[in-house]
Amino acid sequence: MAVCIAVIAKENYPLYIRSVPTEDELKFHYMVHTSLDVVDEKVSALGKALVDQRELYLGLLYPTEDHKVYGYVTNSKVKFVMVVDSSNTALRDNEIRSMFRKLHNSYTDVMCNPFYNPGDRIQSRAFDNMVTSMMIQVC
Amino acid sequence: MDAPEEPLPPVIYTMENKPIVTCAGDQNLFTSIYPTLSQQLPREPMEWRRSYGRAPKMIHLESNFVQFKEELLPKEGNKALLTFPFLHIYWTECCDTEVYKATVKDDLTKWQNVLKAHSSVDWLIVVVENDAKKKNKTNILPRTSIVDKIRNDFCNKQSDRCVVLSDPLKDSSRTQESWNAFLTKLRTLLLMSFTKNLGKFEDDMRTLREKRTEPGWSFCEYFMVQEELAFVFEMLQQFEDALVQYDELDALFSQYVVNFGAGDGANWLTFFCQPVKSWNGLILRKPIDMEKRELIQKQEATLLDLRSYLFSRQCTLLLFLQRPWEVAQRALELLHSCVQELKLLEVSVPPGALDCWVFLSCLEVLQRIEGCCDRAQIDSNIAHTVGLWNYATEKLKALGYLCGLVSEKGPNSEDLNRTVDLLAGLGAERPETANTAQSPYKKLKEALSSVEAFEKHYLDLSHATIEMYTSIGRIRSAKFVGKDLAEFYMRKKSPQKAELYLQGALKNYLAEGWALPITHTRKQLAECQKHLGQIENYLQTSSLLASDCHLTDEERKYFCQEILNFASQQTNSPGHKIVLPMHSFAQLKSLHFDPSNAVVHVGGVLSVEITLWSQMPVPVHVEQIAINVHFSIEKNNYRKTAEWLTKHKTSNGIINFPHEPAPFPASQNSLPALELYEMFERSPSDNSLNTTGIICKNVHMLLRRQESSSSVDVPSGVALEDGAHVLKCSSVMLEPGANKVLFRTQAREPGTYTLRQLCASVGPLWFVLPHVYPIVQYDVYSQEPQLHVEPITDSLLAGIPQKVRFTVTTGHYTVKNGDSLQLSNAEAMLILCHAENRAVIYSNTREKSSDASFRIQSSGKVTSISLPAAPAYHLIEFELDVLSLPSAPAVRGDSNQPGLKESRRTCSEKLAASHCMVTTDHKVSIDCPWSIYSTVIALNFSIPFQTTHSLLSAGTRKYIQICVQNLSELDFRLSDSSLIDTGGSADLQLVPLNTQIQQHIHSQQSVFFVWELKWTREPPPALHCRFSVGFSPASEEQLSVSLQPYTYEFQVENFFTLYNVKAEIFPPLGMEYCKTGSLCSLEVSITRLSDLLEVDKDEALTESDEYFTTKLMYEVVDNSSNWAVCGKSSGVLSMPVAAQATHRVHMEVMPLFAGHLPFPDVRLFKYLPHHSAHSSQLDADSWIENDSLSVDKNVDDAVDSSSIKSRGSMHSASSIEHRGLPMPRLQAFPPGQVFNSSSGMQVFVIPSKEDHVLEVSVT
Amino acid sequence: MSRQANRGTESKKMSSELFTLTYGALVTQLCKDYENDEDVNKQLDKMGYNIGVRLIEDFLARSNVGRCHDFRETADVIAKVAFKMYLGITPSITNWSPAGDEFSLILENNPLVDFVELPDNHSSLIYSNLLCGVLRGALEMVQMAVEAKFVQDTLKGDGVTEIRMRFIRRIEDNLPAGEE
Repeated sequence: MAVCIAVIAKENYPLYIRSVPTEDELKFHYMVHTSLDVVDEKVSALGKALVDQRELYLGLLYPTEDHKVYGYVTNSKVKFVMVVDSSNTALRDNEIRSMFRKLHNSYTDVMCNPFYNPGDRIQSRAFDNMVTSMMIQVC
Repeated sequence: MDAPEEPLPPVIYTMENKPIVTCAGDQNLFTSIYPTLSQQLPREPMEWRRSYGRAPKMIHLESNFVQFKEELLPKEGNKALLTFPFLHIYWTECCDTEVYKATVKDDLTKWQNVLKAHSSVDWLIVVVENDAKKKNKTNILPRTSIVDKIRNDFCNKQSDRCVVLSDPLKDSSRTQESWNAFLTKLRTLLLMSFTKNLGKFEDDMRTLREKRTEPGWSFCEYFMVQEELAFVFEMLQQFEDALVQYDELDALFSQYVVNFGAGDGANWLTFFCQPVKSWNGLILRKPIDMEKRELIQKQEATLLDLRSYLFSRQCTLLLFLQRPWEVAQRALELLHSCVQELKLLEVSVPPGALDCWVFLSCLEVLQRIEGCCDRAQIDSNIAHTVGLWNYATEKLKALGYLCGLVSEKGPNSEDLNRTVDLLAGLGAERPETANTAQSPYKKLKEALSSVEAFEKHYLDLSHATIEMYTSIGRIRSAKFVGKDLAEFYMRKKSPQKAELYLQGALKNYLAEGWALPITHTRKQLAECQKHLGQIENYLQTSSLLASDCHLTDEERKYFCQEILNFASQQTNSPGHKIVLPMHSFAQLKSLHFDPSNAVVHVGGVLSVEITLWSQMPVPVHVEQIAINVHFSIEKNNYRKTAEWLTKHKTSNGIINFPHEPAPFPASQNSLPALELYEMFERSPSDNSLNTTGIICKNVHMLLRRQESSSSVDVPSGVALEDGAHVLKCSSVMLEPGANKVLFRTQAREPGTYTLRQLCASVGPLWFVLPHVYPIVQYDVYSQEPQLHVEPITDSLLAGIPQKVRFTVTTGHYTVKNGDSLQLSNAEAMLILCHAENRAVIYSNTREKSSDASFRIQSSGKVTSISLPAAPAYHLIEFELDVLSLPSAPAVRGDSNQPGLKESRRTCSEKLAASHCMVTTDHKVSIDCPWSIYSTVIALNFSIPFQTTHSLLSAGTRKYIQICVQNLSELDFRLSDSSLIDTGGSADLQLVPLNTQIQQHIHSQQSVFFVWELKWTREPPPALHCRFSVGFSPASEEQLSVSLQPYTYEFQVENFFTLYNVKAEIFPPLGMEYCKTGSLCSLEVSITRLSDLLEVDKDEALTESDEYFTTKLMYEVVDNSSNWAVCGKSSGVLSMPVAAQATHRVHMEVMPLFAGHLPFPDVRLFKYLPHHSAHSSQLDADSWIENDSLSVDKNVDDAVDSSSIKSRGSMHSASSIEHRGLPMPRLQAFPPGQVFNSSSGMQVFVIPSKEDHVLEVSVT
Repeated sequence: MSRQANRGTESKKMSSELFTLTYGALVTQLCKDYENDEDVNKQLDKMGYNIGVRLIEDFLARSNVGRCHDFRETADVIAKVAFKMYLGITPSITNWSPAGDEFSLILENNPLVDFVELPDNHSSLIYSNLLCGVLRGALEMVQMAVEAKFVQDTLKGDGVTEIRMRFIRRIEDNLPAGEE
């Protein structure tokens, strides 16, 4: 399943980033950060189209030897990035989409928590659990 | 007849393949037609309707015509498609029946049978006619018959299988037509055949695929079959369809691998799991890589072979389809998936082999694409290719590390062995690239050949990649590659090259707030800086790392230690400082002032306690912590007066500082706030404002911050300001976490002190917080000693003891024992000394500090108050009772009239506004110990009472009434009132008619006193009296001091009665009562009561022979208009100045109403004729007419003016009249002198009968 | 149209998110303005009270429920009518005290706390305390002095949210007690 899930603010700093296994956390941080390049590219390139067809899912940002990085951007320009093991060929686009949608909903709930100030790092337990479920659950 | 043998063209697998069409029959004929045919056939496209609902296509048909041979026909179950003859044509031009019967028919039959035998139904018989032949043959059947024969001999019920082609070699319209007909037929048949046969083939293929679960099934076989189909499509230029075939194969294979990973492995797959022995990348230069294909055919291909071949085919087709970028993208996916699949299948791969394969493949793909696109295209599609570049770079790097080419001391033996093995795996370079200079193969070989070569290639690649990334704006990716490069440089021990990249990357991460990358990059940077010997930068980076919560304690301790070590070893070189920003070392959390309002007087002690949050993981010993303070004197700033400071500016004295910006880019740009001050310049001569403006005192900060923020970790050149004023605190041990540091300072110069910088020194290291924000200030003030005296109540009352508060602000003066205040007080104000007085001493901030008693000595005019000892900048506060004596000599001093009288007048002016109290000022001059000049304070007492008097007469008897009104808020007790004649004439006495000795007078109440005035001899014209009444506040029963009575002085003049006026009204004669509307007679009798007195020695007096007379004027006025005065209402008469001299005047009056009517008013005036020629008696009426107004005014004035109006004032009034033409004057009598005995009398009037109106008014 | 016009048993539609967020904003603002959670709880209760004393009028106007004869009936009206009308939920009424003067309202899902997660530094905050105030205030206007408090809260990790109501006394004098 997903090995790293990140929520990135409009200003491109991480609101939330978690990865398993934790030892190569750093690698994932780099990976996600680099993937923002492609996110920007896609958003600016087909940004117009995206807005038109309400398509938030950016698809595969870029593959690496052992990982696939997928992207999703909300209309408020908050980005979700998900890294999946390449060996995990079972994951099709649709699963990824639905996972992103789940992520988005959960994020919306976080935003609605009156105690959460937008822009802060996300510490919500609910969100955490959701992410965990996505990381362990196998499709 | 047999046609000459023609060799079959060999089948070669190039895209030059064409569908095969066999030709039987007359070969010569065919060869003659062939050129036209082969050239005509492709000309027109033909629509191909296809099975399985695939979209119809227009295709141009070509075919490869070969001579018919039986062996060409496929045997049963033959899978070959390329060699499959799709159509068989029989050519003949026979035109006579004999020949037909003789040869052609048999030949045809034979041909047909062969076809039947191979169940091939795709055939066509062409009968060519030309007129030429017809000519020389004479005995011929009608030509048609041949065709018909053939038709009914062979094509039973499919007559269209036999066509006629007439005169093919001529060009006539007829020829054209027949050609077209023929070609169309040919094409149709071909397509039909394609559809039929391909369809059949596909069906077989599918059935074969369905078998794939069966044990014997082999992927390679199937591969070959489906590829056959692909070839055919390719042959038919249907590249899309061809590509689909390969993609299906690709997908199928991948699926197998996945399933294998999932556990169910097909046994044929195990074959692909053989260890990888050769890794000479992809080959994309040939349309078909036959070697690999054979390997597959022979089932000897490895996974890499299969993949390579498959991709090379896809690549070729894609390039046909003009989709090079898809090639690039697919390539990347392919390479990744290959690596994955090898892992999945647990294929044993020698280390580095894959890297080689990938590297070569990347370059191969790139070169292939470059081969078929021009520069511009490539540049505009970098986004597609850059991935491959990056991948290649990574792989090369990996190889470099693997083969020990990335170390300053080249590869060791085993590295070399490894390299050799790897190169071996590459095999020999392929012929097609052998002669190209830049082939991937050569590149790799060279790169691995030597350290230098590797470096060159690696750098080229990296730079190329970085450049591409940057060019398409993928900055982050570029930085990331840059970091690898930096790593490489570090390995190569050339940190100066690395630093640039690290800085670049770090800046990027900081800007976007990615904590972990920041930490990691910093660590690398630290190492780099250490190597470079950039001590400051290194120390700062270390401090940042030491405080980095993302590091382990060990690491943090390590970096902290680095700093400390440096500090300790540098001690030998004193004087040389290294300045570092503080925020990484420790953070200023809060600051606390004592005194809390951060205001202290000169010489006072101020303590500042700061809370420093040490970021270091271990306790750090700091030699000194110092706060630089900026001092500014703010003259002419009202805020800075001692009073203002001590009263206002009350905070709790704790300032909290905002947290250091978290690594959010949002909060990154935290510039220091402007430190602005208003500035006034005043001209030295007169303190007038010349210029004013605003000064920013931290411009340097702002400017520096901006340029430093561009390069992050280099110390932002924090300048050490060394101002004169510094708060120091030496040798502090900063524990990790919160530390409290206390600074004490003694205030010297008055002014405002602003904390500017905070710096902590560890050895030569100075950690500096360049700017303390929010702005923190403390104020030092000095103050002149002062004395304030103010009443406790809002107004002081005269005559009774009142409390007054004395406040001594000691300021810089210290009150010693024996210091005293010398009050040279006016006698009019007593300071009442009590047995003992207590003073309270406060600190300047109004906290009570002590409580002391003090003495007061009064000696005559001077009272001295000996102050209790008090330190500087304190307040001594005490209260004293003072008593202001009413009507005091001091006050009377300035005017010869009685003080109260005078002040009473001042009041009477104000009376109009409200009943205000008369006030008297008492000025007291006080000598203070701290100054040679004496302070003069004015206390202002109000007299609680207002008094008025009036004279009352009854005939000749006289009374004096005095009204005392209490204006104050207090109630008083009045006692022993007395009225005495200050003239003190013995024969005059004042008899009090007051009963009570004591009585209360409440606030805003009045009390009246009456005395009768008696005399024996002729009374004096004026009488001076003094009224005095003792009073004391009703509240207190007993007062310590005896109070002075309240006195009121006044004089009464001309109080003796001279004339008595008596009026009588008589009903008309013979009538009992007065009656309305009927005249009655009014008799006024004026009687002189005394002989000549000196009071009426005035112009009125005229002396005729032996006795005096005076002229009087009477006037009857009825203001209530009850009466109508008939005839003269006034007149002048001369009255002899002698007792009992009487004048009677009669006049007619008519009552206008019935009832008891008051008498009309009779007035009497002195008549002062003007001294002039005609001093004769003139008619008063006419006279009054022309001046009555002025007179009346004058009179009224005189009447209700109080007796105080002296004659002098009357003179002035009349003298105003004199300015008019000269005429006699009237003068009112002082009220005392005329007594109207009939005032207030009434007469009864009855209504007259005939007067209806009046009747009404009566009843 | 007049307020009376649209007053009736029918309830006007309104986005529950907006409602929840509005309440959330209110509470968080209070948390900013007051140091400790106890004060915030007090304020919430106070506000609720002020809502209650007004809302009761609206309630009686809309739902023409008559006068309740005993506390049990009141409980039913509160749960089945009032909560339904204003929060769109019907809490269940459970564990009556033997004396019949105490009961619990069990809210399966409390619309006020959708999305809400209490941060650790607000452990003692009673987020929905407003409700208690409303109940107290409303009942006070119908001469019932009650005590209402949360004994369970999903925000605190409990399975359900439970409001404990205790009847104190009848208020004889009819004048509404103002602010306390």
